[in-house]
Amino acid sequence: MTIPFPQIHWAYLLPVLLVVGGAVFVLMWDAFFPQRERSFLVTLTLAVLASALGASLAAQPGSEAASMGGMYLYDGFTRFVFALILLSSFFSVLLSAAQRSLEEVPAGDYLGLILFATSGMMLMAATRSLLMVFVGLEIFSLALYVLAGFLRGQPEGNEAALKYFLLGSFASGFLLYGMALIFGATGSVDLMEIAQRLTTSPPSRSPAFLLGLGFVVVGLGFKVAAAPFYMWTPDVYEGSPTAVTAFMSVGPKVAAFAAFFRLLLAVGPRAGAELDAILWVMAVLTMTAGNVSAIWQSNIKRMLAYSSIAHAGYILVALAAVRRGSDLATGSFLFYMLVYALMNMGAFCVVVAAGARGEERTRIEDYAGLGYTRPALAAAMALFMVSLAGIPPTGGFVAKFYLFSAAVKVGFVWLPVIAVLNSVVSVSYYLRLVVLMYMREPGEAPARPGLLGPGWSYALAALVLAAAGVLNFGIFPSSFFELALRSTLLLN
Amino acid sequence: MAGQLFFYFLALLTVAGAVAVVALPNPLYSVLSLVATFLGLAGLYLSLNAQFVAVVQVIVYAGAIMMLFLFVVMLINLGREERQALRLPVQKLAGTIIGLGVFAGLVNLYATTPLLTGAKGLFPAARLAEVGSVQAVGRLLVTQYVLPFQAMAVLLFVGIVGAVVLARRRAR
Repeated sequence: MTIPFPQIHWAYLLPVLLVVGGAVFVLMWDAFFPQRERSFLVTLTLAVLASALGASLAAQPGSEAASMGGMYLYDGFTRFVFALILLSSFFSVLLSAAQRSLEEVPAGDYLGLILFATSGMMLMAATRSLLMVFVGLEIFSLALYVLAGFLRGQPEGNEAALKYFLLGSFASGFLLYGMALIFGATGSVDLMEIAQRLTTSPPSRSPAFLLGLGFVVVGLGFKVAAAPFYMWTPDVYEGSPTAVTAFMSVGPKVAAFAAFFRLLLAVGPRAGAELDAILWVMAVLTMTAGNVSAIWQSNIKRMLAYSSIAHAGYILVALAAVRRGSDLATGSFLFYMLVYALMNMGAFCVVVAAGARGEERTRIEDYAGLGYTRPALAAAMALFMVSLAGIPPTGGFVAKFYLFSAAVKVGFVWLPVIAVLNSVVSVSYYLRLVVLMYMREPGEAPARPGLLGPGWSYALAALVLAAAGVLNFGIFPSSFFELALRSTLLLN
Repeated sequence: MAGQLFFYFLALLTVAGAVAVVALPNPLYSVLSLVATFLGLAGLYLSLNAQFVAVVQVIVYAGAIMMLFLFVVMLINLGREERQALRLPVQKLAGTIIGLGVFAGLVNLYATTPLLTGAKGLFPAARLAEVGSVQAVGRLLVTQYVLPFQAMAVLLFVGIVGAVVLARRRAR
């Protein structure tokens, strides 16, 4: 008996293999040579991520996108999403190396889990099989549950880890149940086959299919922190180590949104009005809840958590546009995520750099007068806040502009209007921080703690990279936006 | 006819076990009721020609995983007072209502939707009887499902590493 071996394009699979192999290597190296310096493992992890990024940029997606019967799918969209995920992991490793409270943790375990989480996100984004979506999601979720509670002896960290774990498992249950119902209604877990079944014999009206779709939306909505499934976000973001929070606020969202996009591309054109209404309501609720709650926060990590919820709401606008078959929405989603990754990582990096050993500066009040005590840091923070608020000449403005105009082009009227109104609201809390930094006298703040720690070079590298990116995409957006537009989304 | 009787018996066992899991006050009894649910499910798999899945269900779930549950429940060993502290009347009521609502929805689904037989794969029932389900599952695992199979290995590894990290953290 011969066993037909499935077709595998190794060059396409290489980025994932590099990350998984790197994770095992980092973990084992620390187990066998624990006396080596921490900076060696950090450099190694950064090298693994950089080489995976290089491998995915080098692998030009061709006509043979699908490996192993669609379990692994490498198209232009995958390539761009890989770059986003690897970039966010790269930043969080830099932030982890700079964060002083993470100096004592076992570096191999920590960095290994970051790499494993990265591989899970990549697998989730690069598939058209619901099975792989679930497995990839579980890989990065498990790693993140542990990372959230990595600092021992911190009650907030333990609370964050437990809350994230319990609610996350519940959401995974929804997702899996939904996938099972979709399988029951269409007879396949492959999105391309599901799309074909929906055209030939329309079970798209069948209640089983719609219920399954609804459950999947709940499960993915939890992971991207969309309303009304965002309640866990502020507590988990506040309690986790800041570098892990930064990771959580970008990587998992990119991966879950990528899976969301593929799902909508497959079922969107045929599962019409219900999905439209659901996405519309979710987008409006998410951005409004995020922006309005962010105004009242006194902790900067909680404020950034609500801000990331609001940004998820803006991206849901693009999702609703994709449901109506807009190609522009896919490209503007990718570009938005690129800018969002840079400005969000930059803001968290300032939080990390402003902190010192033992005491993090997490109260917003702590930032009063930072413009006088630490001018460079305050200038960087101001830039990221202006970009998050969507004010030119920063990348945040251009990204929002593309995103909302994609929604306008497919005939949404009120959705972009509400989104723009929300952006106006968001200016108040982003600029409040800037005002606090420059217009207020510094409190009895300790004189220049922080940055002089051994990780200062990592923080500096992350800050410079993020700031340069945010400015570059604000002033010269066209070449990267073209690239994002050409990163087309395929099913076959 | 006998097949149908068999099905109703197993279905009753599964559902009664599941209800007992949430209804019984003692966690130890809950875990033991879960065994009944798992055994009932294994029987259902058997009646669906999935012998391999049925055996795995018994060995892995009813065996290994239930063992772990029992260990944990006995190690924690909740006293009577702590169990009573967890009374949440509002949540219980809301949960019951929502649960019954979902149940009604599913019954409605079952009544109104024509059931699909599913896609004809490589291994329809006749072929399955010929080669045996262990071979069928094995072949699928190394061909069509090789990537999820390998990814599951990564998932399990992450789970182990995470457990070790958490345990070591506490020990220090």
